[in-house]
Amino acid sequence: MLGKLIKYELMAEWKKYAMIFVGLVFLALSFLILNRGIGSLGDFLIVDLLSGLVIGAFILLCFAAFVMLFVFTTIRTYKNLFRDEGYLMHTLPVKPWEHIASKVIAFYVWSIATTIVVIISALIAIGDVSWIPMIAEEFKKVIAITELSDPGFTEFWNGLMWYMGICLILYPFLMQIYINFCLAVGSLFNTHKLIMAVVTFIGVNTVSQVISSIVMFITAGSQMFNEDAPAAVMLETMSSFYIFTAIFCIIIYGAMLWATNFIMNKKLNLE
Amino acid sequence: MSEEIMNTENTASDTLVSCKGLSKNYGSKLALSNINLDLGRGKIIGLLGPNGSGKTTFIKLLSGILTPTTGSIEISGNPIGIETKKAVSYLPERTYLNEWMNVKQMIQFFSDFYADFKPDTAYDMLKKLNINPEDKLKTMSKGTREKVQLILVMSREAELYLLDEPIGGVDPAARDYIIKTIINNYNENASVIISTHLISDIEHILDEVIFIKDSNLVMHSTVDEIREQHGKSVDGVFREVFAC
Repeated sequence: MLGKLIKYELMAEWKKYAMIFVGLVFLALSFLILNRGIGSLGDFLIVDLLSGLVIGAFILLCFAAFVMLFVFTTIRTYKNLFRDEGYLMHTLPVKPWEHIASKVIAFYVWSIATTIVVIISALIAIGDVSWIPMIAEEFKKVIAITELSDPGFTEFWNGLMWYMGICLILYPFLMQIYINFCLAVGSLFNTHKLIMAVVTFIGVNTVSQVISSIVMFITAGSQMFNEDAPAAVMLETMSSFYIFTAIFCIIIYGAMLWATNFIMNKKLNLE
Repeated sequence: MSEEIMNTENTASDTLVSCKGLSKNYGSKLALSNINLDLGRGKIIGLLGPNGSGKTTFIKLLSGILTPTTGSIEISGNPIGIETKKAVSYLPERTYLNEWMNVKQMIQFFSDFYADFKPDTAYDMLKKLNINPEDKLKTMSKGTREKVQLILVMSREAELYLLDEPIGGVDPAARDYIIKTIINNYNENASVIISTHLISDIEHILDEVIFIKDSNLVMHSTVDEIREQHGKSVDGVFREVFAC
């Protein structure tokens, strides 16, 4: 049943995403033609003006694509599970966790697709990828300078890369779990369900930020703002922070998953 | 109302729905109070009561859309869950169809999720009602969407059909077709619970009636018993019980 739910999740939203993706590629190609094609023939004010407008629209659409990811998924989840369509979805012979999982997986698919299309269209717009190795070289130089002062920094940088990579991979999963939880809590109220979902979102976010800051301050302590701290100390500080983040995420997102499943299973309140 | 007609006897084996001490509150507002009820198989049961009496809440509890505040429900011996959702075909009083789909996709959706769904029956009924399966649901009128919903619900071979106001929003000609559809599409192992205000339109097909008043079950009886004991139609007794 989970596979079927995912199929319908993807079918429900693909047209909206396709429009954004086509828009991104169209703007990227337009900029490439204006900038590299027509622009290379001479200095035309109108072409420069159009190029500026197109690249402005392209950058805006890149940001909008990621914002729309959250807007689309929130509206879809709310309408599909907690409004009229919920009368159908919650009477299907599927377990609540399958509904949650289908939303999380579909969101992940669209997040990856959006990221790939944004990167590809940006490369199309620029029309030149020779600068990528140069950027990588510059980045390596910065790392090398820090390693020269203290070889322990190699491990520090590696840890940071792993941390950022894992965060990027997990982020869409965690975000959808968070959205599902807030909408499920909002559904418990007899009125103003969506407003209560937003209040929950802000509330949980504020509390988790406060806890993170406190723990970061405790784990990093006096080393937090010490630029001259040796690599070993920095590594130890960051290790404590990674461990805390991992435990914190497991607890808070695990609790959100459990609570969402519980609400949909035992406290469903479609009025 | 007299106590002797509060129950129609069902033996354990033919009991399809069993409610014990069932209550539902919305915050401080009581929607259903201590309902004890057994319903058998092979019956068309009218769920009757004025607006706000608790009819829709009762149907939602049976379908699993709401969870009881206290008490329990069993359908075919199972508590509300996956097994009862396989056995229950529910028509809510509102449109629940995915608007981005067309009718054909909706039929595929039901086929994918309900093992007892009969696509051929659905297409046959669509043809009789002149509904094009290729039509998008969002372009349809409210009445047509309600017909599509009823077709989907009645194209299942379910054990229990829960129909909340199935004839309220359609024209009188379509009402007859819907009533015929209900009669023709359920079998002797299944029961149909119909919630409606339009008692005179469906009275002739009802086997039993349940009257709910102010969140309480005030009568559960066969239609024959009502006529015998009161010398009136169900509509007549309804007007008497719920006189303002």
